[in-house]
Amino acid sequence: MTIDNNTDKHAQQDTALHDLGCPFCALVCDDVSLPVRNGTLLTDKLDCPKAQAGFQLALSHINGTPLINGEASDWDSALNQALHLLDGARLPLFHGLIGDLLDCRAAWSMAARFGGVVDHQEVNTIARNLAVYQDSGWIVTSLGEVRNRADLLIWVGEPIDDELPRLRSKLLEPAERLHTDKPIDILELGPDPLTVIDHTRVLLGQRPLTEPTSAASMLMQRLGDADYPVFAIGHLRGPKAELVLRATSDLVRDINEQRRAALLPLSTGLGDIGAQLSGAWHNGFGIRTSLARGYPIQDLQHFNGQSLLDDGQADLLVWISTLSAAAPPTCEQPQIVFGHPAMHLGDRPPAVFLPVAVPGVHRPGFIHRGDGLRLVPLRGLQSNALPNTTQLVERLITQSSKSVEAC
Amino acid sequence: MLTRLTGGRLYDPTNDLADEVRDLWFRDGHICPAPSNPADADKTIDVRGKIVMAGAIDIHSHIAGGNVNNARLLLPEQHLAERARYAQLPFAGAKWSAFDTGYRYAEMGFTTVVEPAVLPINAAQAHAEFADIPIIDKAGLAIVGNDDFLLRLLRNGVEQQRINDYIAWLLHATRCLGVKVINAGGAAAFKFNQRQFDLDDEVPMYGVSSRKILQTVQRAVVQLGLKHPVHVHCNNLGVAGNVRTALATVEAADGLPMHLAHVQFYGYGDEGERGFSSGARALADAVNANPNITVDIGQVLFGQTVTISGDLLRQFDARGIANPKKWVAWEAEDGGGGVVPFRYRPGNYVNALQWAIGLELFLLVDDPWRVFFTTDHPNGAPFTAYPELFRLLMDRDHRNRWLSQINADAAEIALLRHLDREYDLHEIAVMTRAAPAKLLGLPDRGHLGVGAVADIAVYDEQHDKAAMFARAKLLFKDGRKVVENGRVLQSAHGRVFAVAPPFEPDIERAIGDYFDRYHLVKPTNFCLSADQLAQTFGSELVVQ
Repeated sequence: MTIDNNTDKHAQQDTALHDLGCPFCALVCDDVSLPVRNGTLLTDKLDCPKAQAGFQLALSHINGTPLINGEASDWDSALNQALHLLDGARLPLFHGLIGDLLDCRAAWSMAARFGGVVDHQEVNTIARNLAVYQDSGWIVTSLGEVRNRADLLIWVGEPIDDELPRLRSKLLEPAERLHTDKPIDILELGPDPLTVIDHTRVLLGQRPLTEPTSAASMLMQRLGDADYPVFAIGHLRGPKAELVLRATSDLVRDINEQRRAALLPLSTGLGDIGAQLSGAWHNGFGIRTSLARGYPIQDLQHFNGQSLLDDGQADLLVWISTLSAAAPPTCEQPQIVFGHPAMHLGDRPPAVFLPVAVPGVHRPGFIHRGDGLRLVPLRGLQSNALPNTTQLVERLITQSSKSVEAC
Repeated sequence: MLTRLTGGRLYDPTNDLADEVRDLWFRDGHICPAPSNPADADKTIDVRGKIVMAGAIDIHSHIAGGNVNNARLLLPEQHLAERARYAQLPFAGAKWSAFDTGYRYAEMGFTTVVEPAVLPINAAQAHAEFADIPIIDKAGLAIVGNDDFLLRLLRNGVEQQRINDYIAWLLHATRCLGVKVINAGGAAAFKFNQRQFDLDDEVPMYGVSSRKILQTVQRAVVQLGLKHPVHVHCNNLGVAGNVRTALATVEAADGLPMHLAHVQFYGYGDEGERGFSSGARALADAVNANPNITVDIGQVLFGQTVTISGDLLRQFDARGIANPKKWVAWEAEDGGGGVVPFRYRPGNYVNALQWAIGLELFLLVDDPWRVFFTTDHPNGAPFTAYPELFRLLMDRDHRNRWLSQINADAAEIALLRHLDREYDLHEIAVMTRAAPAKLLGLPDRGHLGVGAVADIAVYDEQHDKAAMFARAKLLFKDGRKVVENGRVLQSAHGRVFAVAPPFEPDIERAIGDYFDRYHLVKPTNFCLSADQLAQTFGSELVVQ
C-alpha cells in the first residue's frame, strides 16, 4: 500500500516549524512552534502539557503494524478481516471519533455504507447541550469575542482550566483587548449554580423573592456593572447539569431583553464538536444517529453507544481514535480499531487493529475549535509510514460486497 | 467522447437562441462545434420536442456554513427522514444534508449554486460542506462590513486603496467569489446593545455610518475589478416601511454596480390600517430606472421554513415571531447571525402580502437580466419549492387561484391582481441561466455556445410548469449524464469558484500585526490554502 500523507518537508531542515495547529484540546491553538534539531522536532519547550504530551507521543510513533487478534499482520489481510466483519455486522457501532474532521467524515461514510450508529466518546456534554438547544435555542458567543469583548466571565460549574491549559493565558488574560484596557472580571458561582441562577432570574424580573441568596444579589450587581457578561459553562456534574444549562440560557435571554449577555458552552472532548457538526451536514442531525435503515434516525437516548454495547444491540464496535492512545472500551463485541499508533490495547486485543496517522502530526487535517466556530487547519509535520483513516475507509467501502437495498 | 443531443428546442439567450430546433454537440466536458460528419458522434441522444437549456444557476441560496448547520441541529423535527431516496448514493435519505442539497438541485436541472454568506472565520467549514455537496458547482460570498479591521480602517480615514487591499486579501483568505455586505455595521452595533440600525446610523466606538461602510466596500469591489458587484443585504430587513431603506440604498449606489439581495423582504410600505402595505411598485420603478442595480427576489412561499441570516440584529429582533418557539442568536469574531424558524401562512395578512410583493417585484421589473430567481433559501421558502415559483411566474391563472385563497384583505390591495405578465421560457432561461452567469463572472456557463461547460438541462415541456421544472428529463454535468427523468443516476464531484484579485503585500504585515494583537487565529492559518483544501476535503478550487 502506498502511503503519502503530504507531510511538511520543513521538518527535514534545522529550523523550526511555526504557527502549527494543535489538536490535543478543545481550544485548538494554532500558534505552536516546534524547533527542529538534527531533523528532529523538539517538544520539550512547549508550555502546554497537553500539546507537549500529544505531539511527543505522536512524533515518537511514526510506524505501525496492523494486528489481527493481537498478532502482527499485513495491511491487506487486516483490511480483509475488517471488511469481513463489517460486511457481516447487523448493527455496527462507529464510536470514539476522537479525531479530526477527516476521521469523522470517514466514520459517517462507513455508517452510510455499512449501516450503523455513530456516537462520540465524549458525547454526554454535547448531547446535554443539544437537548437544551433543540428545545429552545440560545444566545451564544465565541472564544474570540470573550477574549476581546467580555468584561465579566461567570463560571457556571467548575472552571475547566484543567481541560484547556492555555485558556487563562490566551482568553482571560490577553495583553491587549478591543475597545477596552480593563481585564476580564471573573466570577465563580460555586457548588449550587442552579439556585443562584434561578434567584437571579427572579431578581432580574423584579418579582418577589423571600430570601434571595447573597450570591444572587452579588451576581445581580456584577451583571449591572457589566456591558458584556458571558456565562461560561464549566464542569457540570450530577443529574441537574441539564437544568443548570437551561436556567443559565434562560437568564441570558432575559438579560438580553434590555442589555447584552451571552452563553459560552464549551466542548472539552477531543473532536466532539466536529463529530456533531460534521454529522449535521452529513445526515442532518449529528451524533447518536443511526443509518441502519438507509436513512438517518437520531435518538439521543436510544443511540447511546455504550448502551448499545452493553445491551448487545450493536454487534460490532468500530473504534476511531487518532488523537488519543487510550484503549477502546472493553466489550463482548468484536472490535475494529482505527487507532493512534501508540495505542494501548490492553489484555483483550481487538479483532483488527489498524494504526493510522495522527492529524496535525502525521498528516494534514482540520479540527473544530471548542466553540464550533472555526475549523483550524492542521499540518503534517513528519514523514511516516502510517495510512490515514480516510484512505483505509475508502478501500473498505470500495471493496464491500454488502448489498445496498433500494427502498 | 463526442455526444450529440439531437432535435431539441434550444433556449440560449446568450447566443440569441429562443426555441431554436438544432442539434447540440459536446465532447467530454465541453460544448463543441458540430463535426463535419455527424456520424462521428460516439453517442446520439434523441431529445426531439424537448426544451434544452444550460444548467441553471442559483445566485443566492444558503447551502453551507455554520449558520445553516446550526439550523439543521435546531430543527430535527422538520426534516425527519422516512426513506432512502437513492440506495446507491450516500446520505440520500438525509433530507437536509449537504449531500441531498446536491441531489435535489440536480433533479431540477441546477448545476451551480452560490452560498451568499460566508463569515470569514467560518470559511473553512463552508468549504468543508461545499466538498460534501455533490454534483453542483459552488461558490461563496465573503461577509464584510462588521469586521473590526475594516471598521478601524474607516475610522482612521485610510485611503480607498488600503480598503481595496484588505478586501482583496480577505477574498484570498476565504477563497470566495465575491463580497457580501449584511446590514453593514448592524451586527457590530448590536454587540454594543444597539437594537435598530439604519443607513445613516453610526456604529458605536467607530463613528462610521452604515452608508459609509457600504459605499466604501462597493467602491473596492469596483476598483478591484470583481465581476460580481457588491452583494447587499440592506438595513431594516422585514420592517414595515423599509422600502424607503431600499430606495435610499439604490440611491447610495450612486450609479455604480450593486446587487440587492432578497428585495421582497424590503418591498414593504407602512400604509393602511394595519401599517403594512406593498412597496413593490416604487422599488421596481427604482430598479427599472437604475441599470446599475440588479436584484434577486427572495420569494416567500407558504409553509414551514426557517430563517437563517448573518443579520444578527434583525434576527434577534425577530425572536418573537419564531414558530416553533425557539431561536438562536450567535456572536462571533467580525459578525454573527441568527436562526429563527417561521411558518408563512396564506391566511395571515402580512404573510400573504409578502407572497404577493415578491411576485409583484418579479413581474414589475422589466428586464429579466437584472432580476434573479431566488427564495433566499430557506428564508422565503426552501429551494425545493422552486417548481411552484416557476409556475407562479409562468401561469397567471395559477396566481389568480392563489389570490382567491389567501388572506382576503391582502389579496384585495395586492397589485398582483392587476398584473397579467407571464414569464416565457426565454425569460426563464435569461433569469436562471444567462444572467446569473454574467452577474457572477462565470463565462463558461449559463449558455450553450461552443466552449461552454457541458452543463445541460433537458425538460419535457408541460402545461404544468411546476411539474416541468421539478424533474429534469436529463441533466448533464460536465458532459456526464447525472439525472434522468428527475432521478439522480450517479454522483459527481463539483468545483468551487473563487477570485484572487492582487493586493499590496504591505497589507499582510498590517493584518498580521492586528491578528497577533487581537485574534486567537494566526493569519497564516486564517488564509485557506487551496492545496490543503484539495488534500483534505478533495476540493477542486477554480480561480476565475
